[in-house]
Amino acid sequence: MSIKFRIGNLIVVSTKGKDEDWEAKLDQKIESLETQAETKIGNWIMNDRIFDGFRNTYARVLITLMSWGGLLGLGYAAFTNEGLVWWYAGTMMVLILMNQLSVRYVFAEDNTWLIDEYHSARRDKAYHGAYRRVANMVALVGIFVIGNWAFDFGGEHFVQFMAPVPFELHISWTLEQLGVVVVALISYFSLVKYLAWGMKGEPFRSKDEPNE
Amino acid sequence: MVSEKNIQKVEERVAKLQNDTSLDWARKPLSLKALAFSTSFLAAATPIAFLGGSILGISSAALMFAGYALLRGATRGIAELPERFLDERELKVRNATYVKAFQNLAGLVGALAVVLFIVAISLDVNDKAVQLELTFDQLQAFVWLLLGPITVLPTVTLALKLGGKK
Repeated sequence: MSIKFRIGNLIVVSTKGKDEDWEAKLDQKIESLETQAETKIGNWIMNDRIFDGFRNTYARVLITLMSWGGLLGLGYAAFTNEGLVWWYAGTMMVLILMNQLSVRYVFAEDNTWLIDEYHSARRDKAYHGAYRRVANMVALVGIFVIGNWAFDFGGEHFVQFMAPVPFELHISWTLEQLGVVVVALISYFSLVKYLAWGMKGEPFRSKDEPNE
Repeated sequence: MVSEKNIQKVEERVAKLQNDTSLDWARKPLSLKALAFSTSFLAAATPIAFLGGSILGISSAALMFAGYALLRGATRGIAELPERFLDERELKVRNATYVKAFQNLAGLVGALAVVLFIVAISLDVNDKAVQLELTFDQLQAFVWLLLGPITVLPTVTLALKLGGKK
């Protein structure tokens, strides 16, 4: 803001505050650029057609099968063949990315402003399903481990069944095998919400059909 | 196949849970928070208790389940009941609760996986092999490390959410 005053023929223009004006303008400009960039990214995510091939129901079925195949099949192969560990980790990352694309990043944490009511409700429901799946898996593993102990020791020494029976679990893995188990665990947790999202995808459209 | 009689029984039980007034004292914000924190504490303490022996572990797990049962009654079972017993608002609250619960659980499992990996590496670096020998109590402690939080987390999250509302 400038102040202008006159003393006789002399006109004085005070430029005090001009620097602050510039800073404020620069801030405004940066903010508006940020908003523009965010809006563009948001619009791209909501209306993107490039990755349509990942989003229809057929693709969802295929991606789900590939996710399970990668997680368990390639996981088993990597567990028995140490040379495949990095391939396993890389493949799981690609599969997670494919899943993210196929549901338009609805599970990304800071995107609540991007998703509509339908996606928000479906996402929350998927989280519920994912939690139930994980809980069932842990319960099954727990029952298997404790059941295994009961079968091994309880069968032979039924009288001692409830008494403290000496038990030792020996795990002898290579570091690579342990790495495979950790990658599988983290990948399962990353994938389970996409698996619980369901198979129903976006309508199958040709490239010429516009967005509605 | 579930018979009509059984369905009716379940519906009666659910109606009783949802209309129950005997736990009104536990529905106050402060009580909900206190119960939620106590149950979380017991869920965390149970695996440690199992390291001290099965009896200690089972006692701690029983206390945890008692806290969980109280919380479940206080929140009217919203976190656990099947969809058909919940109205639209309750369903929305339940699903939103599971978002937070899943994120917390994923964080816990991720941290456990990393800790497990570091511990395993530090156990035997030279042989490049991981050898773990667990007793039954240690194994139970490991199982309860996940089983306890998984059981109580949704109800605890819901109780904290309801307890925080003014």
